[in-house]
Amino acid sequence: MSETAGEIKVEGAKVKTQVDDIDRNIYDVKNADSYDYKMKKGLDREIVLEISEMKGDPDWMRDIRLHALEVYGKTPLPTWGPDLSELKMDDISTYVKPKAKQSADWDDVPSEIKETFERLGIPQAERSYLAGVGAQYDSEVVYHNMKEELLSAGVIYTDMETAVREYPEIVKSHFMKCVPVTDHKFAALHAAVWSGGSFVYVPKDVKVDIPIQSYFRLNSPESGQFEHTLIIVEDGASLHFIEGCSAPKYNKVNLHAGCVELFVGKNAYLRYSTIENWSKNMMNLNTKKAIVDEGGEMEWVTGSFGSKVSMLYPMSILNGEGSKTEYTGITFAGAGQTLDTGVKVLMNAPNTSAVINSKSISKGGGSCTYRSMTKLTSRAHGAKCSVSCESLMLDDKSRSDTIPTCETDVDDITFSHEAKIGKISDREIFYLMSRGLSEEDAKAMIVRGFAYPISKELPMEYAAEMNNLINLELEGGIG
Amino acid sequence: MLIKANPTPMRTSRNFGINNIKVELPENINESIDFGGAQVFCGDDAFFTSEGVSVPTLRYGQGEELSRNISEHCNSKYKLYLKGDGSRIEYTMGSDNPRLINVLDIEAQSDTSLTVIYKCSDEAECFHNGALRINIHDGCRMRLNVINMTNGASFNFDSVECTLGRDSRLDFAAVDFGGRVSATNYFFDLRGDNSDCHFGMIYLGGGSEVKDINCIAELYGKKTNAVFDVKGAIDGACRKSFKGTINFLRGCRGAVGTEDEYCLLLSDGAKSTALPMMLCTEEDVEGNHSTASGKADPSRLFYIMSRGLSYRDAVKLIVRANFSAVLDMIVDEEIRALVSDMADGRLS
Repeated sequence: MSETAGEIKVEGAKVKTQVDDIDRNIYDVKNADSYDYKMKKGLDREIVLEISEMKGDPDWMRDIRLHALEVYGKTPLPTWGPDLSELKMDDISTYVKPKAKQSADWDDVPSEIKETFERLGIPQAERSYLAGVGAQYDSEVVYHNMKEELLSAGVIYTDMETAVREYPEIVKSHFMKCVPVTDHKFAALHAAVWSGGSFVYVPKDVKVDIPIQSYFRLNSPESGQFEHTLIIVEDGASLHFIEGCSAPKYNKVNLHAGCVELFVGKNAYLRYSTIENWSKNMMNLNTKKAIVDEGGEMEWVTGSFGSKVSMLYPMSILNGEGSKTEYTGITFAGAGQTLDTGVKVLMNAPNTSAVINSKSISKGGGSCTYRSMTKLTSRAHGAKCSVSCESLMLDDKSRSDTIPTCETDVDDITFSHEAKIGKISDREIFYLMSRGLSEEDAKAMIVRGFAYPISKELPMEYAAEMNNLINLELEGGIG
Repeated sequence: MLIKANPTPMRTSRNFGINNIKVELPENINESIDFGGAQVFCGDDAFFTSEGVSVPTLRYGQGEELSRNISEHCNSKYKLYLKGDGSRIEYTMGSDNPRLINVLDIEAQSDTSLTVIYKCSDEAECFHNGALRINIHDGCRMRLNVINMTNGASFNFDSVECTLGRDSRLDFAAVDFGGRVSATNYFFDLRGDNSDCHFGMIYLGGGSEVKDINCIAELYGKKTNAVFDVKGAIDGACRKSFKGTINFLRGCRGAVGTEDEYCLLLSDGAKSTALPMMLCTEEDVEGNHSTASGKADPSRLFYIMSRGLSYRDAVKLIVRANFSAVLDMIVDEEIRALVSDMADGRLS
């Protein structure tokens, strides 16, 4: 036996490498639960009508809400996936209005809320590398701003309520059209009680070279956030949209059931990056879908690190000939987390293509599931689809599952799916050590290398955050 | 009557339509009738009995309705004690024996081989629902072939459950060329340390046939190994679902699991669905799966056709090449030739 720095080690015994959890200090700072108005808990017609009235909804939107409530009541909970029994809608407040009015100047945002976003680095990011920022606190957007040059190019970036008011025709013809109310129970719930979110419209042939970011912060305990994001990228236009989300941890369950609807026009390009960092009391039951037209490109870049339970499967519907989609995602589940994530792709036109690359790391009893559906319909002649998923297990308390469904209705396609699961390969460690690295350095390099294909796709700040997450305490071997 | 059969061990979204298969079956499947079409050929040192054979409760199987069908209406039960090579059981259905609801309980007590064949003597609509349970004792090797050659009007539901003891090995070749609807369920329980399971399957489907293949391996023992190698070709408006599950359970340190599925699509109307699952609660394992589908590789076709073969013959050659590894696992040479000829016949 030897004793090093207060730690007793048994000679020859395998000492596990520690992979840190994400440092949640900046996310877990709670503000006082102060608000202008907090809806009573539960969900019924009266609550939906009250939200609708507070929002000043036009009739058509109120009708959508009421229809969705009906669908919600009739739709059962999923009979698959993570356990949702802890979610009790009777304990959730569906609308919390913060003590702030929307502004385009951070100085007008109440100091406590502003400080929260400053800790999260949002105003600084806006100054450094973003073309526009939206910040939502609980159920309302408190800050929205965009660079002048985008305004003059005709780009619209605003909160959803303003969009409903000012661009009713566009919103009406797109709202809940990509994600139908009947899609699943939580899509219906979302449509009934949605509040906040972002609306982006990029006109034909306008290239937005600098990313736009919306950040969603849920502060109030026992509440839900139901923001709606609607993005329309017209023919030949391009956009990179970043979505960030976080919440402090409470003892009671919070719910996030947002909805993202994306419309990518002919030969248009949209990259949608998400860093999901909800607290570990959050049920994250989000829905994201994109419809892609001829020659359009849709890229999803997703990092899922937070929440107690996540069910999140961004979907690309490739309706136009030659349209493409790419999904690059990493999921990291630590103790007490069940992250059921993946992707859905519907290839519904000739010569479409999809590339899916998913990675997951589970540790400390966390559970990662990669769940996917790729469907090539009878119209998808000449389509190509390649799926790759890799899972790394860092201990034997954790769980890692891969549940991909692949369906092909047409013969002249190329479809392949491959997946790997396991620990760090001894052969790789040996190879690196033969090049002069210590065992610990070799292992650290392999874990970082495992995540690299994803981290290189993330915005730089988030990539750095992810690298911090994979902060190996070099004590010994993984596995 | 409409039933749900062949459920996956872990459900996924109902919208994906793969958790189970829905089949409309004739009402008379739950009427008890005798079956007189079984022939048992005992190999070296084998012993069989039809007395006192109980209906096994399978861990997975074909679902509630069809499990009840076996326990209440089983019309053929055998228990076999295998100690050597060369055993064979043939079940022949037809207008005289239209329904086979069978149980086979096998004890593999040394290095053994067994071939089970399901076939039809005529074109009558037949129904087969079977449960085959195999216990491979410690240190034993079994070579198992299960061949479905039922006619295109019939229903075939087959469940196989194999338990593998310490240091045992199973080489299992399954051939599924028959049935209007053929749903097969294979469960491998690798509870013995160092147990080794190689499952190879070939299938052909055409017309409006339905193929539903459900392979499950649970790896409990240390350094266990499970391999699924499933290959097939479908034509016409055939619908095929492959559901493969490799489940690494806590404690199976050093286990390896591999599943490969490849489906050759020979027509535009054929539909292939695959769900290759891997479930894992043990860190020190290696799991790989891959699945692919598409039509025959044009460069391969071109190469073969440039040697003077017709398109159809070139496709046939490609399919046979895909099938060769599994065909090699068929123990009986005559049966291997028969299966090979059947494949050629169906592809012509």
